Amino acid sequence: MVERKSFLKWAIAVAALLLLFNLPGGCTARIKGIFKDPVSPVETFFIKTAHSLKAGADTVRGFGGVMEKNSRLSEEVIYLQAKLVGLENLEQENRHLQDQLDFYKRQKHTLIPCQVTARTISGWWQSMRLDKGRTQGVEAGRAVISPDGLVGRTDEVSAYTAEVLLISDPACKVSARVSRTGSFGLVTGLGVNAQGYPVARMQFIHKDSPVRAGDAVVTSGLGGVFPKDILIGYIETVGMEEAGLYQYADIIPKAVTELMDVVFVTGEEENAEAEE
Amino acid sequence: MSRRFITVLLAAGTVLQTVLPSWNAFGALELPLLTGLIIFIALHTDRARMFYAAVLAGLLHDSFCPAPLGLSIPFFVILAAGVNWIRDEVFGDQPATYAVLGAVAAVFELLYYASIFKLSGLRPMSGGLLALRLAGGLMAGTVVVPLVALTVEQLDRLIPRNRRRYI
Repeated sequence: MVERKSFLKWAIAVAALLLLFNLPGGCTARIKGIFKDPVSPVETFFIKTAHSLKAGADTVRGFGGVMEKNSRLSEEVIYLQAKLVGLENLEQENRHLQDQLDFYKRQKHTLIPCQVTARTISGWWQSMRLDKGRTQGVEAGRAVISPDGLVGRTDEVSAYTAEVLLISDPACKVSARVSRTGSFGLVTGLGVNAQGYPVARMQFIHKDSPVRAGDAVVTSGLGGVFPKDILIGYIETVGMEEAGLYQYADIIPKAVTELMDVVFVTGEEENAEAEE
Repeated sequence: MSRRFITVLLAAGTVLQTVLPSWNAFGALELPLLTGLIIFIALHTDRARMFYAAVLAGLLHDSFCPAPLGLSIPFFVILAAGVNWIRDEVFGDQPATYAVLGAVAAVFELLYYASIFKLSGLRPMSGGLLALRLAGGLMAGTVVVPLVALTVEQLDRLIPRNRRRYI
């Protein structure tokens, strides 16, 4: 009897697990949202605190550098150096904000600015989490861009968070074009290289196309998910596939390598007004 | 250790694991905080709470990454059951015990996910990346798991004895 009960328990557990695996996508996103949404403000708090600490550390480092030259400099210079560091930080922040504003104005699509709150919990995936979700108009399968170029696409969206598959993730595929030659291809993520940098590969480039290292790769706009002519990155190496039918090019995705704190999720395309 | 305390611990561990930067030199390896917590819980609680913790850890882990929901539950359940099975044979409060269990758990975790991803074709992976992650996992498991255990022990001591029944 005891054995039968134990067997029944295990059978129920396995059945529950199988059921969990086979839940439809929307249902899974909702269940994940139950865990993610309450935690999102805590993550945002951590990220903001980390940024403040970093800014503080930068300022202290500035003071330290000045102290090293203390034998030659007066206290007034120290004060001015510290002020300069503060001003440089402000100038840099101002430039970032200006870039983001210009970038925002240039887009034909409506853009939803989002704060990056966390990266994925597992190193097997190349993804990150944003602080906005369904309630703020973010939908699954939308392009995520920054002034540096394409970041990835939204994957699972809960009420208050959105998971973004980075362009360096093997599950993220983008129809792309080499800007100089106009050659088309498909960009697929390769994860991270030995140095820890995210990498992607453009496949199915015509074998006679004169692509070379340093060429810019942009989105082709085919497929409908990603807007046209968004920078993906620059070609690092070019090679020929084993069968000799196509070329491939390894790309360093610029926007992922220099990932910013604020990214934009694309919405619907704005027609006349934006195009003017 | 009550279920509420376990829940708070796992939630905090999950947040920390997502917020702390990954170890890029070792294939974007994450710090095994949840693994450390499950090892500690398996060594210090009864089976019912241990299974509760393992299932919750699996759900939390999968909720914070694009993996299919439930993928990590068998890993945490097997890990917890394994640790619980040998808990009478080991010195549960020694850092060395946690270091060894952390290293073994890191190898098991790598083999578990690598085999699942290989069989399902969910993630492409190379031998080089696996070797890199194995080396990093062994180091991270050996160092992080004893630290996690030490921290949880201290936290557990902070809770007044007369309140432990309720918290």
